[in-house]
Amino acid sequence: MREKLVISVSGKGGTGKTTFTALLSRVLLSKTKRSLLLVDADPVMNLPRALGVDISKSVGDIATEIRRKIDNGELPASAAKQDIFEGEIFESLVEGEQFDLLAMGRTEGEGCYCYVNRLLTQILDRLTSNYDITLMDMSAGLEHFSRRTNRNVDVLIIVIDSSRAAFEAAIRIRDLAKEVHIDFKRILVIANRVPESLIPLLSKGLEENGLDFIGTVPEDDKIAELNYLGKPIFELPDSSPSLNAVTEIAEGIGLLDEVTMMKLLGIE
Amino acid sequence: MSFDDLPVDVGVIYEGERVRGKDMFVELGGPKIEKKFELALARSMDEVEDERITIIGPDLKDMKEGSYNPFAILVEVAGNEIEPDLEGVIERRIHEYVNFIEGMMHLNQRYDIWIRLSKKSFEKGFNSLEYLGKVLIRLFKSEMSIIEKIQVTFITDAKELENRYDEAVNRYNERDARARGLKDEDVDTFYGCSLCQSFAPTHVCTITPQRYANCGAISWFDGRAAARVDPKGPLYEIPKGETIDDFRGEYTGVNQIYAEKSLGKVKEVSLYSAFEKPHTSCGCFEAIAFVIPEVDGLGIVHRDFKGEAVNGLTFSSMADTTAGGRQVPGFHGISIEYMRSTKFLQVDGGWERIVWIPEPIKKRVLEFIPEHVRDKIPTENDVTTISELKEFLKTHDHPVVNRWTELEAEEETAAQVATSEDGAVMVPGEFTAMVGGVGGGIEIIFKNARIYAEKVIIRRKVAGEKRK
Ligand SMILES: Nc1ncnc2c1ncn2[C@@H]1O[C@H](COP(=O)(O)OP(=O)(O)O)[C@@H](O)[C@H]1O
Ligand code: SF4
Ligand SMILES: [Mg+2]
Repeated sequence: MREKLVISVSGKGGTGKTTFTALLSRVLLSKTKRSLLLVDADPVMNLPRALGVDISKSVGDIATEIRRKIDNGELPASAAKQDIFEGEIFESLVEGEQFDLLAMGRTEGEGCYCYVNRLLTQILDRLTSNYDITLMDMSAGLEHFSRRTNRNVDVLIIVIDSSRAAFEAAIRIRDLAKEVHIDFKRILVIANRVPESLIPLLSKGLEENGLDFIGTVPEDDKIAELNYLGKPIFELPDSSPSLNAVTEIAEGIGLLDEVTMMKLLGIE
Repeated sequence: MSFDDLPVDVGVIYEGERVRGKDMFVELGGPKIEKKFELALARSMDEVEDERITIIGPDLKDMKEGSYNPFAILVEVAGNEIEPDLEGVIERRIHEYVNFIEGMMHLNQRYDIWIRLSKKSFEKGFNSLEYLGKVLIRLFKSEMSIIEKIQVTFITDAKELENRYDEAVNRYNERDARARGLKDEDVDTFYGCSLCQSFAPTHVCTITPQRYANCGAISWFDGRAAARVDPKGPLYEIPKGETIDDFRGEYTGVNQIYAEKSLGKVKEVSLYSAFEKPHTSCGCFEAIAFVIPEVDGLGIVHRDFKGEAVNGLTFSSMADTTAGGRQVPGFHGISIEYMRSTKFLQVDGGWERIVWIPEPIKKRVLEFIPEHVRDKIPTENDVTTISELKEFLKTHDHPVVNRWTELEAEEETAAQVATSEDGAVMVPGEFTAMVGGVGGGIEIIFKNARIYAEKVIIRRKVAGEKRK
């Protein structure tokens, strides 16, 4: 099997993680032939709507259900739960023409999830290894770092807006990544909806903190319009400024070209 | 073993391969098909025609691209050492082996199997179930030498499948019933789990057929499946080793794993005791068996029990005492499933030693409580204080009452010891005490505990000393 790339999109809430994830997947699908798995790792689950996809069940729902069945002794005594769980997770995968989508959701209820989470990690690792690119829309919280949901991530993209809080969150994410020894190949920062005039200052601030600033996405009225109409961002016209900006960013990271992509993965 | 005569590759590297919806040629079984199954059956030698492959219904090449099809796999094996107990193990290998095939995906098990064949592999020539049968037969024979004869049947005809479906389900039910009856004596391997070591560094769960994991999530069968997939992972085999004492559940293999995994902190464990060298408790346990010294019995409190147990303590305050991966005599983390086991705390007296249990749990495990004590164990609806408890046990003639004769004789002399002004004994730091009546020199460690009691008897019992 070929080498796989896992990209995770993090940052403070409301900075534009979900929007950027949707835009980037749109670019990857139109400019490359790579198979794509999208993972909505934010319990709020905004990504399906941004993509215009319906989900019936989240992985969290399934895990909760499994835990409940364990408690009530409803699972067959001599069958292995890992097999049952894996089957059910695969069932919750939304299989599209262009990409597949998995919504993580959240687990509910008490009881120990150590085992269930362990199974989940194994199952997800196996699943992601089937796609050329896995793109994860993370939650604003940082607990996924300590839970090491990110542990197989190659490229960590941090989205910031012009707020101080978003900037500070970026620095915290960078530090946390080091603390928990996740070996990202690259950590990159994207500025979303930041006024042109602020860019030089922002760029300097990021540089001083050793953060790799790779591009900006402009405020896009068309996004606002689709938003208002309740339509998926995925329907943005090709010529949209935000889409052009993300295309440039994808190119800059090296995602659109076979040679640069291999370099990104550390294969010469 | 060679698969050169097959149109596609076969090997472990394909194991994690998933066939995506848009890449699949056909789906066999799966969520869109109501009835499907896979079944391994132990047969006698004359019932199996070696290496025969039978296909009942349309073959792959007769199926429409993109279609969903009824599907059953029947693997019948025979051999001198083949017995029905092995059916589960053999059946699970079907899952592994099908996944070894390039462009084939197998998920789930039993009546939930879900198989896909990719367009690519179909186009390469994998157009008959005959090939699948060949792979299964070769892999089974090479990996399980006890299989002397094997025949494989595929059913894609809905009617034929329907006819055989109930028989399969009955077989699973029988197997589950047998699994529930599986005894620790019947196996020579247990499984260990160290998943909880991140917050309880000396903790190991020993998972046996009759002692479920503390969290209630992992059965011996789950352990077996996990250890096979990832033997170096947090779930691993524990060879039982020598049996030191099968009543107490002491095994050299188990002790050795504890010594290793706890870095020498825990050396010996009696699997079926809450008092003596008890199994460690991490933090994930579903319930706690806690000592009630006044009546020389054990209470049980579970995670969802919101109020105070009969001893005035909540689940969470007792959980603090119990957790952390130590061996705390008299505070013992357990699963609900373990209460259904005939080995349940058998060293301590089993159900005859249980003197209090919350109603919801009692209901859940009722049929597993021996009839002669069922009505003698009160719940929060019967008693709420220790004195009420005592009274209840006495009037219902609970078996622990027989243990009291000794205790009561002591009470008279020890009565003046206990009470401080507010009726609470503050126990600073950590201290160790012997609990009267528990037998055999037991240690109880209190850490920053605040103990409320009407009366406390703490007595040192020296070997050979006469009762005062
Ligand atoms: N470049 C942009 N132009 C216009 N609106 C945007 C842009 N980026 C984000 N938004 C809007 O801002 C809101 C928050 O963005 P979202 O991607 O959901 O943030 P996050 O996922 O980080 O919480 C959404 O309503 C989104 O449509
Ligand atoms: S409680 Fe469960 S998860 Fe924790 S160590 Fe025991 S078996 Fe493993
Ligand atoms: Mg979001």
